Amino acid sequence: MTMGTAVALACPSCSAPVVAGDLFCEACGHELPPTGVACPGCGAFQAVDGYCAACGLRQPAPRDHVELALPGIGVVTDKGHRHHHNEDSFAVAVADGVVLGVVCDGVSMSTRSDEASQTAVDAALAVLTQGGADGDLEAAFDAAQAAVLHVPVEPHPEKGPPSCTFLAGVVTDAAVRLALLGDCRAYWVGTGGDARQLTEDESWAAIEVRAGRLTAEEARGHPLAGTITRWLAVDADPAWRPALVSFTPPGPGHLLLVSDGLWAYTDEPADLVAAMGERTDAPLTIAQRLVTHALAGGGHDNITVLVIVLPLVATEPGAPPAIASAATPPPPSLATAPEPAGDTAP
Amino acid sequence: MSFTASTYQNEYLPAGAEEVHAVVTVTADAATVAAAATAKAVVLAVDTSGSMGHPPTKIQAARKAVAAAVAEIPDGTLFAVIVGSHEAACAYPWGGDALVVADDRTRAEAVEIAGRLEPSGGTAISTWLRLARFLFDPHPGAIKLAYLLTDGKNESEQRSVLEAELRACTGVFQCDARGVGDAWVVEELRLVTSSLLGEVDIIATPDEMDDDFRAFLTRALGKAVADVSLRVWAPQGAAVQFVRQVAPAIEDLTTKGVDGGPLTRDFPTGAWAGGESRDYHVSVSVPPGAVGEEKLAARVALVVDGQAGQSSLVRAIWTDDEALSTRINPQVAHYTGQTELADAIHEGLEARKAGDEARATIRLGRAVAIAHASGNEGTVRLLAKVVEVDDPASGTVRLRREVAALDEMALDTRSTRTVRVTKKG
Repeated sequence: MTMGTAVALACPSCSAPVVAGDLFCEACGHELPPTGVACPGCGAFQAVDGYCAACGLRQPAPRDHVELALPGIGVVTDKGHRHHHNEDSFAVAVADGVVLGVVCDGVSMSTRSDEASQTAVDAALAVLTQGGADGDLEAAFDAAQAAVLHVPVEPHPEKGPPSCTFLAGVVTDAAVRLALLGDCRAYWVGTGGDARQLTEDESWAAIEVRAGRLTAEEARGHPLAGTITRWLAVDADPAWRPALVSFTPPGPGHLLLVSDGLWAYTDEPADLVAAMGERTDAPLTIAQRLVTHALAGGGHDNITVLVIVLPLVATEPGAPPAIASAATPPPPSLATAPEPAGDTAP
Repeated sequence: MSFTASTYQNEYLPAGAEEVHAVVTVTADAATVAAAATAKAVVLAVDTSGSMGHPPTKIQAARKAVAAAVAEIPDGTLFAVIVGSHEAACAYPWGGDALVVADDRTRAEAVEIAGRLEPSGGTAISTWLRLARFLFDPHPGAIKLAYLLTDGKNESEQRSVLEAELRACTGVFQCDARGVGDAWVVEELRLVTSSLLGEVDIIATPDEMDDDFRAFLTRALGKAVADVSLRVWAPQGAAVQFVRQVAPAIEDLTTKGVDGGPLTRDFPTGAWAGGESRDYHVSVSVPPGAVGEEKLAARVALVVDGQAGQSSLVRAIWTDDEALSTRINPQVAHYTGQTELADAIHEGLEARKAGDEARATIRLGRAVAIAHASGNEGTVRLLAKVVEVDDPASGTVRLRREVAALDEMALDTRSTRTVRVTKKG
């Protein structure tokens, strides 16, 4: 079928026939969700629940792959090869002398986790931007948890309520402060290639390894390896508080906030450093390489990589922060194109 | 009334595959009660043909059961009692042509008339249904349920007459049917209940009639919303292979679908009670997508008064990962088995009647094995009265030499009853 042919479309509320491009159902007045773009499968201009209303094809979602560059920052998120939705999300803000970043990984065994992770990063970033360099990470965590509770719970026989993990950072040249719940990770990679993981995974496998009951190698192959022990959701234990980490950057380098879709393929810091490639390249280029590395390794999960260059790139003092997330790219004036190699190298 | 729908399926298909299966569990909100404006109407259609007097315990039990049931009809319910033979008439209101509203006076009158039912004449069930249709017809918005009791074959009319009347009754009211004793024909009453969204069962001895009448009344009065349809949308180029109720009993709805809009069919499911839950097995064939592509294969929702409730999505995702595409969904497998169980019983009994003992043994043995493995204990017990079970797990059975007609009919009648997937701890 091509555009222009009659496509039988039905109102999702009353099933009365509607014409492609209609904004409202003529029979019941139900607002029709126009896609604005033709279905790549059949050319129809209407989708319901993310599927073409004529041929049923799932419509490409903007969040399937998002790339973003802000001064001194590069972010890439990708749905990977195995998952059919990107349930990771991120949000970043760049202001004078401070970078705020949040990465949340929607739990795949839950419904609407893509919405949970998006609302969590948005709510957390909104709190952090109020404080800037003094941003309150615990308050940001509470806001994220409260926001997740607003995602409707869909009855589902096997899946849990909307859930996601949480990693947020307040980054200045002098100090990095982090808050973690779940199994996203923060890494520091110095200019000499010295790399260290700044956070401890809150996962079944990590707990077993720390307790000495499993070796790291055994944990990697274990069927429960991906099982997290803490998350944000309506069924989260109120006693679960984020782990707080403070870190003083020893000098220039890269701070990375990543979801487990990346570190499953770069578990050892040395692997991560190798996958970053030439570290004098633009942060977006480094983020792209890391995501490509995870995709080449199998891409079994959604992948998110946020790369922050330290020292931070100076921005105009007093200017409002540049804010962006996986769902809301920054206005073109604020985004910077990937710079040529060397430009932003520390 | 609000319904929730959950889909159970393996959405992953190998490259090129087009057949998508899903089990959709639909549950009506437990808090649902009938809107004050929703009238309820019940009709008892009781066989008073001559055979009901042989032995007289049958007509005596029928009098008692009708009186007991009528006495329990709540105020405000519309009701009537039909007596049926080769022709039909209203016993209450006597000679009437309209339903009456239950109150102290009408209940007492109906109870009194129930005691005077006398058997005579033949059996033409279409005339009973036709009268019920006329009684129900002026009440389009009401929840309308009939209960039909017979003890014999529908011998006083051509089959085509019954079929034509069933077509006329479809959508007007629902009807449960009961056969008392062993001289009625399971297949005839199943035709009635399949057409009219009811259930068929056997009443082995007349003394069980009383409880069964009252159980019907409880079920009927528990219904909260009438004329609910299962709406199935499937994409352009797709074909709905079948829509089958699989719990609490198997009932194929595929041919009952009516146009519900573009790409949409509505399958009538009758009236629902608050808290009621049913399972549907839906199979759709979809033009295959490329590996990595995902399509919506069907959207399933319940529809009341043209308003669709929350819909449940049946998906198809094409993958080259065999670990995903070969996974078997437990619900789909279970109900595929329960459907095969009903077919095996039906074929086994047919073969037995035709004297094909080898085939009967194989099919009934297969039925024992499926019923045993799926925890369908009720059906295992019914099968054990028709075959000697040597090993239920493998389905090793021997046909019994002496089988009571009642036992064979009970197995036939109840062969479509299913159990739900047992949760494994």
